[in-house]
Amino acid sequence: MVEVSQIWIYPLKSARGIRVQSAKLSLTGFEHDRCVSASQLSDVPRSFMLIEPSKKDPQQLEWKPMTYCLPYLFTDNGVDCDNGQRYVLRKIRLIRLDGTPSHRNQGRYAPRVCGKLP
Amino acid sequence: MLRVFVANYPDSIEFPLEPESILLIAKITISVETLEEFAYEVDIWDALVRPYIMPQRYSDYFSTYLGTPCKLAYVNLNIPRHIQGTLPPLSAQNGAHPVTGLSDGMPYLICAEESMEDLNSRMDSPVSIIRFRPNIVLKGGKPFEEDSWAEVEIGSAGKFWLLSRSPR
Repeated sequence: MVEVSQIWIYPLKSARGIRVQSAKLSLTGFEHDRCVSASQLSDVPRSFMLIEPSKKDPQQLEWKPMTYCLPYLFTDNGVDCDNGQRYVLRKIRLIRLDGTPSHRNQGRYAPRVCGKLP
Repeated sequence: MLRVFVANYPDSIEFPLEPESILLIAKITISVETLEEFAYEVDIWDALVRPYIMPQRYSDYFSTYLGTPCKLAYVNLNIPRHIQGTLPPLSAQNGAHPVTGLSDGMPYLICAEESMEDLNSRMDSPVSIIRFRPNIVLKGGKPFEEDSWAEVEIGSAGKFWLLSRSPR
C-alpha cells in the first residue's frame, strides 16, 4: 500500500528544508513552505529569500551556499521539527493515466483519468 | 519565528515570519513600511519582483557565514502566480486559475522512495531524496509507478492533480 512517509517544508527559499509530522494545506502549498502563512484565495505569496546584490543581474543566491542554511521553525505550538516518527496517511487513492506519459512537451503532459487502481 | 543556522557555525539569526511582527529578542519592530525597497527587480521563475531588504545585520550574518555577499530579502508578490502548462480539468478548478506561491513551479512536489532507490542502485554515489526538495514523499509503490498517475487522493488532505514532472 502506498503511504505518505515524509513531509517537508522549506520556510526560507533555497535553504534546507524541515521535516514535519503534519502540515497545513493551502492552494499555494504547505503553510511555511516558501510562504509565511497558509494562503487563502485572497492572500498573496510572500516569503524571505537571500539575493545576490549584483547590479547587473540580481537574483536568488546560488544553491551551493544555501545548502548550508539550516532553518528551524518556532510556532505558537513550539518547535516544529521531525521527531523521528513516521507520518502515515492511509486511504491513498490513485488514478492512473490513460496512455504513456511523454518526456517531451517540457516535462508536462495532460492528465487523463481512465479509472481507479484496485 | 524562523531561526537559521549556517552549518558548522554556532551562531544563528532569528527573524519573524512576517516583517510586521515584533522581534521580541531584539526588542525592535520591523515593518514593511520601514524596509528599504531593493533597487532592482529580481526574476523568480519569470515573475519580476522588487523585494524589500531586511535591516543590514541580517545580511551581515548571512554574508559573513556563507562567505559570499548577499542580502536577506522579503518578497511580497502582489498577486498569486498562475500555474503554467497543463491545468486540471475545469471541473476541478472551482472557477479560479490554479496558483502557486514562491515555489519554483507548482504548489507541491511529490516524490516516491522506491523510484529514488531504483535511481540510487544505478548511481556510484547514492543521493538523498531530499536533493529533489519534495514536499510529500510516498512509500510502498513500484519504482516510477507515479509517472502513470494522474491524481492522488491522500486521506483527508484531499486530491492532488499531478500536472507536471519536475525538471529536477
